[in-house]
Amino acid sequence: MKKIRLLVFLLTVIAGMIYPVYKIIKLEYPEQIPAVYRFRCGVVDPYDPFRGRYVTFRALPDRTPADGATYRYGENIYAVLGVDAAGTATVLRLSKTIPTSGDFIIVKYNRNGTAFDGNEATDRKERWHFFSFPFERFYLNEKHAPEAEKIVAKLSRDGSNKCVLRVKVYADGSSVIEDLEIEGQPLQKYLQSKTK
Amino acid sequence: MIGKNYKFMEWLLGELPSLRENALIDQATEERLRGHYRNLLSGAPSPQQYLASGLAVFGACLISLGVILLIAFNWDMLPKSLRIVIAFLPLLGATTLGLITIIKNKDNRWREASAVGVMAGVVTLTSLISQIYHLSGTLESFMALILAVTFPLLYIFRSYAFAVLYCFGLFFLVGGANPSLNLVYLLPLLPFLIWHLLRGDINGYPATFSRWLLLPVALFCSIVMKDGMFFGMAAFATLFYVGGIFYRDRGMNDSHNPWLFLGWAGMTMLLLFGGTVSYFAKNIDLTLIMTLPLFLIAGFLTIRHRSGEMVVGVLAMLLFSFCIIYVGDRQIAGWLCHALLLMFGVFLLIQGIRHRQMGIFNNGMAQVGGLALYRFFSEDFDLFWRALGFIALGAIFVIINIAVGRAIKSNKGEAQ
Repeated sequence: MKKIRLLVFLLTVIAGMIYPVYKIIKLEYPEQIPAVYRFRCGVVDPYDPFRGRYVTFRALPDRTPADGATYRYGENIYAVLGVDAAGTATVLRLSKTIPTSGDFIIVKYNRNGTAFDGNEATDRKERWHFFSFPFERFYLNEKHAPEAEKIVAKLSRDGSNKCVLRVKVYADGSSVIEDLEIEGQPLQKYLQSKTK
Repeated sequence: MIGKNYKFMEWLLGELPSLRENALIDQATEERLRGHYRNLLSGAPSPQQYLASGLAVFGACLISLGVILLIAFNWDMLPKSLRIVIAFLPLLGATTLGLITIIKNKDNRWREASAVGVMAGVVTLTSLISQIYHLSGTLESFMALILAVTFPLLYIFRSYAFAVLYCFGLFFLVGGANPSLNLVYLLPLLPFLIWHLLRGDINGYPATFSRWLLLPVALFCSIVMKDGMFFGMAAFATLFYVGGIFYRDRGMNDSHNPWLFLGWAGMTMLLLFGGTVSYFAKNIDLTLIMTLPLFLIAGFLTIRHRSGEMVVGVLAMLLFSFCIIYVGDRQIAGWLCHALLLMFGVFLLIQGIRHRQMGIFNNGMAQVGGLALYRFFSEDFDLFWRALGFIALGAIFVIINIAVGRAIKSNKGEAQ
């Protein structure tokens, strides 16, 4: 009986390690070297009771012009990526099936409709597909988070490319944040230079 | 299985000298009985043992929370590889503790601390890896993962603290889109609670623990039913009420038997406020699958126990369920539910008077009084009729009080 308990206990501990170890291996040793894209972003600064302080992003662009296709709310679809003249990421098109060419990210579909600026529709004739990227959190040190949030919020409001997320995009459509860049510098370096 | 009732054993040991003095047993029998029951009592868990377990669990929880907060601080000044190594340390430490507990067959303090520690280790490892790689994900998906991989700890260590933490974790899942999947998470917990509820002494700590923990479990089930929530609450309130009467009639005190009061309170609230709620039957299958067995168990206990209180409670909740499904007009449904509550309250008043049970009588008084208060603020009647109704009700209350007071006084006189 003791041997069975011991075996089940060790299996439980291994089960507890499987997800973190799988993530480490997948992200650190991918089959193909991931492409790196730079996304413009807007932010808020919330708190996770287990994982601490983080900055939440609304990675941009979060929409593409609506075509005839229909998607369900919450459906996982593929966003084919491109790069604009400024070197930031754009979404070329959405697809329900795995794209045969180009890098892509699995995104969550939100809605089809007009875009709003505050409570006002920007253009009622223009319709968009809205979606969310799977990366939305950048974890920070408790002390740095409030200051970072202020800086990033200020820079992201002016619509420039001063606040950019560097994201690794893997061949299977998964993605992970590599760093947050403020005015071309990684956030940590930027904060250090500010405090000096 | 008949459980070991240690209180009765202690009582019997105290009675042995008088049994011998009255020549009901001889000295040899007395000594054999004394030896037998002292031997059984030596295996009884003492309150100090439970207190020590509680303190061990509290300490383990504090250490675990401290580790989680240390991790949440985010040590981004350290290199990534070092942070990954650090992420594994709490789980490895807790695993060592768990191995010592199992191999050396340590007592319940070690078991509780090991279960809580390993769960906290898995939480910190998963959290830290998510933090290092900036992985997104909701608290719901995070908790679903933690509960799914750690549930065997409940049985490996037979840990009550883990059961409480698991139950607490369940509430993170209620926002999920798939209620049936959320119910799957109950499967590991229910056998543990039912086993402790049914085996051994009904007044013992394990059974009492199960009775208390089944209350939040019932709340979780009801919330998961979403549009069928009121049916779930009705079914659980009925089961707890019937179960509460069952335990009360076996001499259980209130702190060990939370079901009676909470079941009664749940039924009263549902009849008072639940009638006016609109019901949209979107997921009636899940609701029926979950509520039918509860009503069947309550019905079975009622038939077996042949108690008028149980019959009225079960009927009231069944009629309440029919009322909110089939009566389209919400105002009429509200009136019907209030009529049920009035009948329930009056029945308890009569039962309380007949059996000279002030507890039952007070429950009936509270139901009728609550209904009267609710109606005082409603606008279904004009002021004149409300005024007359209140005067009549007040008079009835005064008369009943005087009558009950006299009855109790005369009973005391007869007893003296």
